[in-house]
Amino acid sequence: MAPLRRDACRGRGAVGTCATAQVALCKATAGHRQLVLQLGGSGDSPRLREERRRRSVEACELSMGLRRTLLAGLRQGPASPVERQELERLWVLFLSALELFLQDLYRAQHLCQLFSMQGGGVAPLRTGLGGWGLPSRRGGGPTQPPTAQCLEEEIEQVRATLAEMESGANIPPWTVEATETTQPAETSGTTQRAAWGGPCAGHCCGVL
Amino acid sequence: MTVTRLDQGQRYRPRMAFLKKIEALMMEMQNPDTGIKTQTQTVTITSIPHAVTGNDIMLWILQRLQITAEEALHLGDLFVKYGYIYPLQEPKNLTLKADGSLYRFQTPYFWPVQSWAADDTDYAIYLAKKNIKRKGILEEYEKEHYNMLNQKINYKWDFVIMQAKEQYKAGKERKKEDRYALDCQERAYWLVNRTPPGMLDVLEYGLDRVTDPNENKVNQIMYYQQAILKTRVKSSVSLGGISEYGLECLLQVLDALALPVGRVVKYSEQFLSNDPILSGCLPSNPWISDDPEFWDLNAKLVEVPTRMRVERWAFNFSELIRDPKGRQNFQLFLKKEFSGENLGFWEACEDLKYGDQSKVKEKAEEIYKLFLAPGARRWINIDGKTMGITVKGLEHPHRYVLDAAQTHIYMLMKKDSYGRYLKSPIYKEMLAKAVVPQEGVKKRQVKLAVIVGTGLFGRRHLRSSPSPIILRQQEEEAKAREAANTVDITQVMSKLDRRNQLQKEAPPK
Repeated sequence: MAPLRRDACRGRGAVGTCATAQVALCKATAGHRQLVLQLGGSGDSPRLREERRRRSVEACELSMGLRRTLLAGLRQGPASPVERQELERLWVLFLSALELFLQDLYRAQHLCQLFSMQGGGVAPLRTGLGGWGLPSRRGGGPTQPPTAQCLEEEIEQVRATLAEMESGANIPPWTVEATETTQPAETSGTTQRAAWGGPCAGHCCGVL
Repeated sequence: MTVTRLDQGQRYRPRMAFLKKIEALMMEMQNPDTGIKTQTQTVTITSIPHAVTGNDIMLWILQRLQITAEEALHLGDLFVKYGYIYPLQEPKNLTLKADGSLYRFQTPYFWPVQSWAADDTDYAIYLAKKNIKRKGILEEYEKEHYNMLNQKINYKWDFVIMQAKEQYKAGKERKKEDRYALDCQERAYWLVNRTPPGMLDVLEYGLDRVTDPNENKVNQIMYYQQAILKTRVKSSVSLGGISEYGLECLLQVLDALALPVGRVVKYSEQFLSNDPILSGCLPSNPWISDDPEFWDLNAKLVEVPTRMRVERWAFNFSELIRDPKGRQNFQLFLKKEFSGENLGFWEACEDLKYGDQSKVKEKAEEIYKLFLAPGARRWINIDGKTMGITVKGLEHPHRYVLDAAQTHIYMLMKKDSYGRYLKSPIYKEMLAKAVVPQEGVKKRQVKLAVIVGTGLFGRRHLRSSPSPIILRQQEEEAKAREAANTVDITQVMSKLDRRNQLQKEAPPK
């Protein structure tokens, strides 16, 4: 992670901002996921849902901005092929993040429908988690926002972004090389494969 | 980018209706009045609420569904196996113990869903997270998965690591108890969805379906309604390219597979009396009464077949030709009609298609010499066009090279000889000779007979049927003998013809 940051700072502005935005997006989606995890469980509350919505909106905004910058960067045709490669890599990472986010949104929609806060017919599952953050103050904020519509809009938005991006830039994902070389724990009895040291050969037959 | 996007929806997961039912029960269990009582689980210095004992779960199911204790235990065990409840003290042992062992409900986020399977990317992130938490703590099979995923989705590996780190950080922000509970949940989820070796994978359902089980079926219903009303279109008209015999087979398979519905009804009605499960079998079902007489009476080439079997030959031509005894009888009839070579040819083609493929060339050669060559010993009468196609194909023989000719002969037999066969004395004789077995002794009587026959401690001596290898050898020998002895009348006739012709030609000197 650290060497990447340094490279990014040294590189052109576009790549740098993209990289930092990517990290921020990851953070937002991770937080969002943790909140969606608690939907329907004992940690569920209107406050939690409100917080989830907030994070989701944040992630959406970040993704919009990131998309604009990446597209601009790619369309301009950056000078060095290294930078181009870097942008493509970030593009693929961005797409992956967005996919994961969309998946979580679908789950959230499914769960919100299953355990709707209004009506109060369904009791949430006792999952052992405490309420999120500060003790919830029911009725503290404005009246319950129509969560269903908002979720559908979000999903639609993200899905449209995803579709646009896939058709927008013609970047096959398998040409991207991973720069992270987190050594996986060695399995006993298997020899270390050459692939582990540094980026593996670009055209992996990994895409099945 | 995940590869599923390229899937184009060609494969669908099966409908899993039971998931919704389990979910409903899970939600009922939460009811503060009628649900299950919870306790607190103490873990080192913290305590986490909402733990339930296995015994309570079983008793609740027992009481709610009004079933036996054994069933309740089994059902509860399934709940644990599918990941709706997870054990706290022995996390890897996904069974329900009807004692004081503690369990907790899984958060709905981690419930199994019909529409999507557990994602590889998610799993990669989970493993990466586990790896980050404490280096090298992954189990053997997890390490293998990790390495495999690294290769498989290498292009998004940076994302995986990044996301794992962020999720880990997000987890750290929570209270210790919550963090523990979240970890337990996630671990349980992946135990169910990526089972360690040696554990039963309950979510395994075989191959994906080709049709979408959730698709709106309205159009299909309309189609079936129309199909029942419509009369069947002559097959050769609509699909010229496909071999008609193949199409015939296909249509029969489709018939049997229940599209269109009207055909199914007719088929079911016709075969109802023949179905051993629905209509019972005489003398008795061997699986129940331990008496193999049913199998003996219905052996492949038994001397005297059962009446049901002979009646079945009259349903349609494929039933006749499918039954070896039927073919034998039909062959007798064809011999009288001087078209025995037709069935011989058909059987030879079947052998070519389904027999030893290493001998395809020799077999095809022999068939040509015996049936197709001009002046062949058992020359079959097919039209010039088909003969041309076949001979041409025989230059490069393969298993389906005789399909066109076989279809022609099949159709000839079906449309021409079959009708006459059913009215022939040969068939009627067979029908009269056919035996109707008496209904065998009832089970209880059989048991008594067994005890009496063998003494209270003896086992009844069950003789085994002859080995299939030996049976096959016998069949081959019988076939060879018959092939050598068959003299079709056409051969004789053609010889006479030729002699006459020679005599006619000879005189002018």
